[in-house]
Amino acid sequence: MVLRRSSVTTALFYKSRETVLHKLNPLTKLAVILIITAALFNTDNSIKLAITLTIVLILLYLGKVLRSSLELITTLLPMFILLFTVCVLSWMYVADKPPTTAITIATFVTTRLIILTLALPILYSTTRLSDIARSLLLLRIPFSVVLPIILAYRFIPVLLKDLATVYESQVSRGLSFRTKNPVKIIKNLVPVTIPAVIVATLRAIDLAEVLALRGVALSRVRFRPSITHYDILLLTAVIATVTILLIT
Amino acid sequence: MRNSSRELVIEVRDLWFRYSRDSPWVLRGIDLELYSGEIVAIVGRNGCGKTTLIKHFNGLLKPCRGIVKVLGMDTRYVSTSELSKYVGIVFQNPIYQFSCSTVFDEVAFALKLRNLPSDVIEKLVNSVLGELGIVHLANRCPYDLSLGEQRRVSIASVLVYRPKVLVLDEPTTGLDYRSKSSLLNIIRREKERGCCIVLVTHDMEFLCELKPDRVVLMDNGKVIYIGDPREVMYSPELLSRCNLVEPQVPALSRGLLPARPLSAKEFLSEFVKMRDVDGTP
Amino acid sequence: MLRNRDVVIEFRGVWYRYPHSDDYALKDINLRIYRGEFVVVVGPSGCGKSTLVRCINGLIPHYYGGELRGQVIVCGLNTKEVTVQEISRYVATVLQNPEDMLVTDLVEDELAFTLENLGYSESEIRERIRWIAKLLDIEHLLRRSTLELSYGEMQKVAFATALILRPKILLLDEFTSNLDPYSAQYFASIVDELRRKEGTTVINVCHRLEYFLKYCTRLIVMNSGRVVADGDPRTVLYDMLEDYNYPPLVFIFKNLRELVNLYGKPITVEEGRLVLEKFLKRISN
Repeated sequence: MVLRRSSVTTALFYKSRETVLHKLNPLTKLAVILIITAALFNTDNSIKLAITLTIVLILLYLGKVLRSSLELITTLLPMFILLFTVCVLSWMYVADKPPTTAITIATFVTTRLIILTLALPILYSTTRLSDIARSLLLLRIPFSVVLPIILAYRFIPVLLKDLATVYESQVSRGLSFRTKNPVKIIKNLVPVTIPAVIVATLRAIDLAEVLALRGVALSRVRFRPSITHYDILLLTAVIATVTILLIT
Repeated sequence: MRNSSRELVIEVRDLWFRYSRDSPWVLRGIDLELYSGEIVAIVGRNGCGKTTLIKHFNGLLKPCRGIVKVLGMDTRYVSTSELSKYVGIVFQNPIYQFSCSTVFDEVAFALKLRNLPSDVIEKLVNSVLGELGIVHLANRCPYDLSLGEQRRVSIASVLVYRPKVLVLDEPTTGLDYRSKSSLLNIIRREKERGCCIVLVTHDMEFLCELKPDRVVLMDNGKVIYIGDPREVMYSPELLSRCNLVEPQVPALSRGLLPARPLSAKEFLSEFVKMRDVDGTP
Repeated sequence: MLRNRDVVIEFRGVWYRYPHSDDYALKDINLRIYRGEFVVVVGPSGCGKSTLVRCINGLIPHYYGGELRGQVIVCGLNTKEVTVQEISRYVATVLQNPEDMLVTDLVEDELAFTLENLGYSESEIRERIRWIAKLLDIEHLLRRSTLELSYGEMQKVAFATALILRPKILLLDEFTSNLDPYSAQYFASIVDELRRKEGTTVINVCHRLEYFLKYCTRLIVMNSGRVVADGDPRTVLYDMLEDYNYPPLVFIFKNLRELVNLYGKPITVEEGRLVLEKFLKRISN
């Protein structure tokens, strides 16, 4: 088991490039994602979904994150397949719908989620976490809420690496998951979960010390990102397209 | 000098490895043979591929090209948990493996996985705790111990199933002198038992005390030199190529003493010999 | 009166006990550390070295609780009366593991982080980033993500985040433990250079004396919470201690008293070679 962490890091964390999207105000990008989400979840029409998908792909291309975003989807493919299966089964057995209806609904659900995941790098890969922090502060969200959110996000790859290290240490002592018995699998997850949780907790404690040593809680972060004409153009375009989609 | 009944435990042939098709090669054509009853040090700067190499010894990583054989078994076709019976790796940070509430349970972990009867487990664990001098810690929680004690617990948890190869990844970081001496004794004792000990480190002073049988010098994914530690320690060109600093005793003696001592005690005995031959001032 | 040297750190009758412990981690510590010193603190595990560091940067008593008796005065501030953040204006700490110190996603933001928190202006921050990037040769790393750095690069960036503050006091808590010897020497020389240029006081806690003897102006040896020896490194190593684990070089020369009496007390390899050469020349004549 090799955790394909690299595609997650590439797609969902800042990559320094010179593109239009990188120059935009983070709030604009956040707004775009929210608008796209709203559009996605308000339509059952496959043509509209296709148009939304095209918009997303165009934006990804403008931000030069198209390839890494697609790689992200490929990494998460097992999860989407699982979701699809669960949807089909629950619509068939819980809601008592015929198989064809269940499959159609499941396809829509999964496609929406895929398009939304595809769209995430538009914000996360083109914006620095500190800019996201500053934008959230602009929205009057208190620093004591913004900082933990940003830190939690930033430490996801670190925690994943810790989990991998714990797994390697235990497997090197003989732990194995090659069994068909589900009880055994759960039992074997314990020696991986406990150290992982403890290591994460110890990291949090160390992090609190480091933050204090680096002066956190004194003054607010100050700089404000600006709004450029690109922001206005993009927002207008997206709002216009989505409105059209919603009306028709 | 070599024991004629030594066994080839690990064989590496033309090993090439990289993490993905986009990333650079981490290991480039490594050839290596490790035998039972020897102490081998793998030395090089951070990032030269030492840790990546040892992860191949128990199958955590599989070669992209080339082959790694453990006791004749090709690691591509055997699982890590199977290989771990023969190759025990003790990683650098013991915190990443502690999952039991007492030291005793922690050391017994690997044996419980193999479904051994509890009286056998008790005997084996107690004997290994005795060897490492941590019997008094048997009922303590691993997280409450000092780093030196934690390292001994993690070594115990691997030694308890008597692997043929013991791999220690940077075992001396953060240890004080007393813990390092006890580590030296543990390594030497395992060598007497016929275990092959592989030590990944950049602690040259420790190696000068330990005097391994062979030193494997790595740089940038390649093996630059395999051989006598004295050759390595007394060659500033080799050391600087790998971003390593000359240890104190060789740096002191090079060119001034006819012999090539590695540890301080060796230096003193060589010095006294030389001085007594040339006459005291 | 010793007026011409400023005292930057003072421990007055300090006793400290961690919250769930019966034994005192620090016992009757009385120290005066002067501006510009390169202090190296050594001792076996559990002797109280890290506890000493935490008393200086304020984590004790504010983050560790426990019982702190006596006073710790840092740059004129009593650590019990001010917060850790206020002390961080004067004291920068570099920890053992650089991964623990990085909190943002971009190297440039990482360098700016502490300065932003302390309220420096944007232009001042930019200027300092330029300066430190040049000093530590990390200009090419400024636009890289902190999550994708190699270990050595992370170490440099973590170091830079401390040095960029131009702190009055630089605390190094076993920062060489995970470093290869070459990098350890490199950082030690940068720290010393800064100390000479800016008068920073350096307190280095470590297990491995060897890398720092070249720069050390004062050696403090601790054991079981007490200061066992304190002074000029040569005097401490050769005259003050009896039972100690010396670096190989010092161990050798302590056993060659006649050389030491004739030619002096070497603490670095260069000095040791000089002594040896002089001696060999003499006996060959």
